[in-house]
Amino acid sequence: MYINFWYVADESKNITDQPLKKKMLGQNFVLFRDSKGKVKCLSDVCIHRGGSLAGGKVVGDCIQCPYHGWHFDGEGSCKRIPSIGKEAKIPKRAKIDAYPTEEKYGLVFCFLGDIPKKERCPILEIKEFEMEGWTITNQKLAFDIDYKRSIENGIDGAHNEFVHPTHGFSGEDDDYKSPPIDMKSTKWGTGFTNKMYAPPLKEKSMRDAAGENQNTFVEAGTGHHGISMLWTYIHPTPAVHIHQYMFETPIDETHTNLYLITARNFLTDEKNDATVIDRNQVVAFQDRDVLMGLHPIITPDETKNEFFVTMDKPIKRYRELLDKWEKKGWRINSELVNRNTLSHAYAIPSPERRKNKGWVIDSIPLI
Amino acid sequence: MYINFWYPVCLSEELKEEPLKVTILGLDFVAFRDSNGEAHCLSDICVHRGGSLSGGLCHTEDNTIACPYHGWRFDKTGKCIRIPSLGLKGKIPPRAKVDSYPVTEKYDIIFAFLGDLPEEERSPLYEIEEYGKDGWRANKTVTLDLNYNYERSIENALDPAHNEFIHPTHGFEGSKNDYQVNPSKITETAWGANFEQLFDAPPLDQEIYGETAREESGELTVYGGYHGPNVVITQIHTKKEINWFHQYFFEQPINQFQTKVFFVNMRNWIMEEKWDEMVMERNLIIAGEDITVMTDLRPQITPDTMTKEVLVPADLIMGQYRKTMKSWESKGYKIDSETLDKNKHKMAFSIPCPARKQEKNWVLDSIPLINGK
Repeated sequence: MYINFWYVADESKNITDQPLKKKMLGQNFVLFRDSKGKVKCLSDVCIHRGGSLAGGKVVGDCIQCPYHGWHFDGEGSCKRIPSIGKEAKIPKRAKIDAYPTEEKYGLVFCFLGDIPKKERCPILEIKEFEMEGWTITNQKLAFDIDYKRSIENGIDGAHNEFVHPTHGFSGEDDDYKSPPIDMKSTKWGTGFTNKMYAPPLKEKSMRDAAGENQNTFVEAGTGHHGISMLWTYIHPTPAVHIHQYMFETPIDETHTNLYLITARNFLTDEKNDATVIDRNQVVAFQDRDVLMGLHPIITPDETKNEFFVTMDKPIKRYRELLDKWEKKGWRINSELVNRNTLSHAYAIPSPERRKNKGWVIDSIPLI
Repeated sequence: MYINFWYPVCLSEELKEEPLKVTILGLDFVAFRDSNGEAHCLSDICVHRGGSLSGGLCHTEDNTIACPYHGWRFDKTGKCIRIPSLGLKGKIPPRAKVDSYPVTEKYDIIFAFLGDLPEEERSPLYEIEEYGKDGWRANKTVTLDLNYNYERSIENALDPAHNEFIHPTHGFEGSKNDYQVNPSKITETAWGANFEQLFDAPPLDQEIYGETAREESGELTVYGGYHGPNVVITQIHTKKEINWFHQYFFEQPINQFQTKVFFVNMRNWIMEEKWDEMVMERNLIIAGEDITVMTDLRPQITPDTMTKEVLVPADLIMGQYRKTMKSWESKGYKIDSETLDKNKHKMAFSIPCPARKQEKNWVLDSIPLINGK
């Protein structure tokens, strides 16, 4: 798992003026809205004696620890220590990591890391979100898998025929071979487009809307952006478009929350939302069932322990980027964290750590 | 976790002439009563081929416990007195013995001394002076199961600043403008420390307190302390002369993150039996409030150095507790849990019993300890 990326904590509607505990990158965070409705995200461990802030309550713009009532504002500064009285001076060390947050697409994003704004990988843009002629659906899934396995599955052009029976012909034709891919890389990701030979759409309403009842070539594209965001374009005909955006959040090394946004430019009436969500769900669970059986459970560190073929090129490129981010010192040393989990509390370093010293909780060990 | 202290094993009523398996300090023990009703506690691992003695049988004719695997019989001192496969006349090798621990029964609890110190060097079992005395009533001893580290639990019981926030009925939730924690008076004892702490207290209601009720807010004094790593005392004097609750918690670290608390509750008022239930119900509500918050503390084990927390004057007694624990670590009483965990699948360990200081030739390795200085 890697620090210094934007991760989705939850859907906007779930963050209220009640504290909510969320686990990301194996660490606990508390999220709440302040009196102005702005979302705040802090490390959940009280620096006094380890209370879980999420068990406390929101008082004004502060979160109050349930154990001894210490108050911390949305920037992580301690504003009150009841046991020493109202007039007493608060020690400078009494502060907790607080993380930048952004609300977008009905989701709450938290930047879990300490690099300055201009160096951060931006949140994947969904142009269709504000565009006329597009309808958006949101859905959330939680799978017991390594998120990297899921991202690699997303940029894998050779699994559809086999994992998703409705997407292809299960490779049964003698002349089957994955169509060539046209790879494109950016600073933060890699993707490709290709033409897939595919049967008509599964749902009758969708098939009718696409006006395609026979086997045809479907234009498709997919790619990842940053560590855990995916985009997928499916164009069954030149006029009918399905664009999907997936934001994945590692809860820990083997549990992942997936937030899927689907934009479509056909059957735009919201009465069709349920069909779209349903169809996505079927496909997502087909992926999940295969991903849950993969070994090792976590993506191997080196490609020499797997056998790569041409279609795995985008995955190879993803691994190269992972290496690059590891070399920048963004990769969490999970082995050390796991070994010390009972006796050490850690915090993902927040941007404030680059400006001020005197932090109580150790920064999470990085490779 | 520390060897060389008295640890509660089970409630008196739980122990019969049958083996009972109990996990303490991360290791397994077998407790049983002999035909005279006397309680015994041995290491649970048979030195032959690792059978769990607690799966076996108690033989009342020779007061032994027999391993379920090959029927080896061990007496209360841990010595093997019969190896069936050798026949009745077979000579028992001197190495055929398991650790056996000193046991005592008090407050309706069976205690075992888990360590190898000779009697004169041992910390005494905590003495509840008023137990069984006129003018005092004890609730039936009960146990509480905690899914967290026992040191976190002890520190919580000593902590004078948590009540206001965790227990709404104990204070004012920090809402009083002039609220702050009064200074604690701490005195060291031979095996721990005591404190005296003054609290602001809410009114006392008519229904329970009767003529001793108080309409206004007032004060209460708590005399508390710890004895050894695992015993904590809370004596709540809601008034100077009367209305005293004396609570004694004997904690059993099952392992580093599970604890069983043996709770003795005494009072010197509302003496009739009919109040027992109400008193215990109230105590269990309070315990539940603590458990909710304590289960989520991070890290799960108290940090090794005080720099990983921001401590304030109200935390003084915790500092004292940690200092005392360090003194036992320097005596070599602290279990090296890391080494223990690393080897748990390939090695069986035993807490050394007092006999290890007199005899050699023990089959199981003594539990790894952190080197004292």
